[in-house]
Amino acid sequence: MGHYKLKGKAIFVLVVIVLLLLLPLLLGYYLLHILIFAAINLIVVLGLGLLVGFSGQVSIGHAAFYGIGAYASALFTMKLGVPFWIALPSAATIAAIAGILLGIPSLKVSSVYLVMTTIGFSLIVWLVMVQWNSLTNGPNGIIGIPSVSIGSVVFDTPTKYYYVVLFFALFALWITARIAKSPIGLRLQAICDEELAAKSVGINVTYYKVLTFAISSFFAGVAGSLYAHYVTFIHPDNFHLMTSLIFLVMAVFGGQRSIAGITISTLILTLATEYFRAFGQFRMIGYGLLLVIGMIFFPNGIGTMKLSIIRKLILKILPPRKYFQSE
Amino acid sequence: MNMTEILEIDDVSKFFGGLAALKRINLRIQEGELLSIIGPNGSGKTTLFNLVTGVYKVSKGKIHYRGNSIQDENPNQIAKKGIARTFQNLKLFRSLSVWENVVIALYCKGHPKTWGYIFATRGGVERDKELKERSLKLINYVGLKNKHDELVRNLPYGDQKKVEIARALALSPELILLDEPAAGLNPLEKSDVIDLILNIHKQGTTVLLIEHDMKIVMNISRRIVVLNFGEIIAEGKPEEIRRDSAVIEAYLGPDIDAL
Repeated sequence: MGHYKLKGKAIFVLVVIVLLLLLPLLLGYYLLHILIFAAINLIVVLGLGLLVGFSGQVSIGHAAFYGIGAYASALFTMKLGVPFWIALPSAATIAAIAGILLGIPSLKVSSVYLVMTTIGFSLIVWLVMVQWNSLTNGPNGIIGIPSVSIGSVVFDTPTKYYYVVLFFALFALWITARIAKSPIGLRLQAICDEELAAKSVGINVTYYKVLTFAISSFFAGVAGSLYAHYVTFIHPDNFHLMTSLIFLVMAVFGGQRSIAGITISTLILTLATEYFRAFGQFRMIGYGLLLVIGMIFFPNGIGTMKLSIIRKLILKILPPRKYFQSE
Repeated sequence: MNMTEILEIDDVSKFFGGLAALKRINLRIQEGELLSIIGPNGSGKTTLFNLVTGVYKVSKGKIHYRGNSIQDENPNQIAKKGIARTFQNLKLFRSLSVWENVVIALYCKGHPKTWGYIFATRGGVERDKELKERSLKLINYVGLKNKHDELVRNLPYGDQKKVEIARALALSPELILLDEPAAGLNPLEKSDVIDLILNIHKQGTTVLLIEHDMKIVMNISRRIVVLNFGEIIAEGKPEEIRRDSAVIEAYLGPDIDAL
């Protein structure tokens, strides 16, 4: 029975990946362009889901880590002449260090006070981007960030860049799913449920909370770097509070602990942002309505919808693997 | 009885602001003992547990576990040393299943290969399987056979209490602190829990028990300590305690002999 499920799952994943690889043949430039943004957002939101859904730490400051990743990567490639493939992990590491620096003082506060701390952090980072003219070029932003290239292949069109982003997004999905199922994921959920009991079974709560901040901001840093080298122009306002809020909304709308839910919600909300553009200044009304309706029908996020309907269907076709069946 | 001392509480006081929750407590617990702590509500029983497990820091005095000072250690470090506990008000990981609640405590001493799990290496997968099986054994041991996959929040109260005990046992403790394990249980569940406590004790674990049910306390304890207003007012064998006039006045009441 175990093999049966594994086989089904492997086939499902394979089919999805093949479809994703063929997508540029089916979609126009514009849709592909939006899909690239959705994938970049997804990387941030997956990390945020780990932080919010698993360790229970709510952040409205993730645009700051996203921005740190974008600026660091742009500056590494432009000022130091470092290739993208080194700039991306370096920028993400810097974002992770910033995450640790924010995570440590944040241990002292929780719930709404932690939210305030992350908002404050986000504002500080934004101000640094605006004011530190000599490094960030201030409110003018950075123009002419080089595109990603391997050898002579330059990933400068949506079709080509799609594959770069797809690679990172799939990797982020895989690693998040693995972390969620690993002892780290279980421990984080335990901390979220009952912090004192978590300590009483030997969990170093401090370590895991800071670790989650680090992983989560690393993800945001990766996404920031991908963003910078795609649009080739970054500006402090790309990384303001509104961006943080949208990331949080995507994570909550998706159901925080549900990776599939987060993926679907990020996709829907990224598409919605683009489509509602047609309504000009009224677009946020459409976006808001979508959220309200979504939260009324799926108060725990659309991840729970998947649990109740689609999952039941899957379970019917592929019965679950029993871990503890006597052999 | 083996006469090594597993836990020494020397002159320990705990103040919350101006309130003295515990005043100059001196207590020595022998290895393999089954000691009950009784006393009225607010007498400082749970505070004592919280001091031993590092949840609170002692205001004055010293606590030694196996000869080593532990009063400056964090709860997670103390858990790793082999002191496990349950809570008066259940503190389970409610969004997790029964076996996940238990396996988390197994990780503490099991040195899981975290990166091995994440990248699903052969070692990681095998360890995963092994720990799952061990958690299942513990779940069977506390009498929750076939309930391992249930979410703990869906279990009846009595079963949830058993999950907490299983989780504490997963630390392979040498000293276990049980805070009112029988409170809120029906007679059948109570007798299950008594059997469980006696079993744990029989296997060599030192048991410290807080309990209000005098039938249980008088029947299973080897020694009883009575707290009142943060002070030890009596200490001795069950038959001594039930005749102690100070204890009868402060806590037991005159009907104790009916039990």
